[in-house]
Amino acid sequence: MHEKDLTYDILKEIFNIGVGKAANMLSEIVGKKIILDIPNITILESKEDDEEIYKHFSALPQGALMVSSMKFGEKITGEANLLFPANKMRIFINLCIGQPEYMNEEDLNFTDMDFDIIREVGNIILNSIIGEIGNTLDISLKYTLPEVRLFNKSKFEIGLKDKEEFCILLLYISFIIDDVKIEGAVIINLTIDSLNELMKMTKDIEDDLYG
Amino acid sequence: MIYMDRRLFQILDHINEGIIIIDEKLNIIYWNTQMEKLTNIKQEKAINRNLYERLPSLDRNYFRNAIDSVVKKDYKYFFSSSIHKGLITDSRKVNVRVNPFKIDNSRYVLIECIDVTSQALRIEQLKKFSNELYLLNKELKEKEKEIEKLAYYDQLTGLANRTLFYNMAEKFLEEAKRNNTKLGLMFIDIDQFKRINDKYGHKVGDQVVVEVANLLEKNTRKHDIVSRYGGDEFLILLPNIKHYNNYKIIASRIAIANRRVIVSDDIQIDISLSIGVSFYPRDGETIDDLIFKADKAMYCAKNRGGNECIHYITK
Repeated sequence: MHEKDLTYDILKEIFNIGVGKAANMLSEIVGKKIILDIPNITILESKEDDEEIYKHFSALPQGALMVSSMKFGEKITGEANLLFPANKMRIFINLCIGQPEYMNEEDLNFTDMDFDIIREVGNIILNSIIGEIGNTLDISLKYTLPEVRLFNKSKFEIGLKDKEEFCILLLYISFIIDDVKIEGAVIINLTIDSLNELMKMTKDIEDDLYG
Repeated sequence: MIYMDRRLFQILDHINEGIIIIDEKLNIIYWNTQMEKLTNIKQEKAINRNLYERLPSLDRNYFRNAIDSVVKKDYKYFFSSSIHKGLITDSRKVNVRVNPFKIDNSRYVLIECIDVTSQALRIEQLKKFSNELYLLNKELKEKEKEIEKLAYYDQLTGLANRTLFYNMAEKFLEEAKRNNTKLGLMFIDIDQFKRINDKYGHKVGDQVVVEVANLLEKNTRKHDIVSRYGGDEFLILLPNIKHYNNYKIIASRIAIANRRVIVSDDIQIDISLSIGVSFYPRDGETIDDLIFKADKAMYCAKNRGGNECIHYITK
């Protein structure tokens, strides 16, 4: 158990370095202090029973989700999804573009311009996370630009579970902009081989650290 | 230098978005006609020039870092026109996409500049329209509340009016019947009100009515309903009275309250009230029964000189 915890801690550290860079870039773009933090990560595999998987999904934000999805490929392939609760996105978008308060902050009607803002932010965060996986494995990856969609949470879960064999790296992420904290998650679908490779490299880092 | 068929470049000239291609050293190797339109910089003035020298608006720390990651790590970037104002030009709203590509081991960066000015304008108009609708809706809701207030509250005193009194009375009576509890009803009339009106005028009469309304509100319990029945008559619903005699506590609070109305430095009026009380179930089964009996008790008090609270007594 201890050994596993240590591996998770190293992985968490790797991702936090990535999102730290993303936060710096976003702070500069938006002109506001932005803090990104990954407090917790979990690995889910299709062989685990449904209850265990459900337990982790139920910890994700509730209600409608704003999901930015980015595919990556070459040596390892997969898809990364950044999830934020949709009802927090209006206030988030307004903070990003420095627009004064909109009448209805929980409004779920988003325009193309709103989606573009989420696409840009999602792109920067996901680049940084997947980029760190690439760095750790010392491989170069090809990325797509994210697609942004609104999902009902249950539909999103079904979509994920429909895949016969899956390996999911689940990162909880908190986004703080101007004292507003938004809790979200990053779900990365990886092949089992890619995940094993990542875990092996992390283990090597661990061995380097502790001899 | 990139080897590319000139015809390919010619095709890119017909694309409806601005295209810049730069090499690893950030030199511009292609600039299409749409870019000329967006920036007013001619192809021949752009090609072979450094990107930041030609478009100083791109020379921002984060953009340089982004281009660096595109070249070194194959990242792709998207910069939205809403966040990045004036990234390409000040006069248009432009989304920028940055993609890497490789030909014969040389790396290049493709910068696409998509003019979204008209979409942005349309969205702004829709937003403005939706904001207007939102405000209108809010205004209507406030008006609705106002209308409701007019329908259910007495304009002079702000107390419940007859309509609201009957609504509440029926509700309390049903509750009392269901839970086997007592419901009290007080009928209150201002003594000598006609004389006050005749002597000081209706304006002062209104002032007295308002003062009495405040006095009654202040000296009843939180869930009691004080209403203006008309003229100088008030009704109070007393739900959940434990013992019939408990009305006396409320009556004595009203009796000892300050009842001097100061109209001006010269005019001060000491008012007194005649109050009659009836109860469900002892005195009646319906609200009209209770009002009738409380009214009778009130007249009894009035006939005895006023300034008194009497409960209805079955003869």
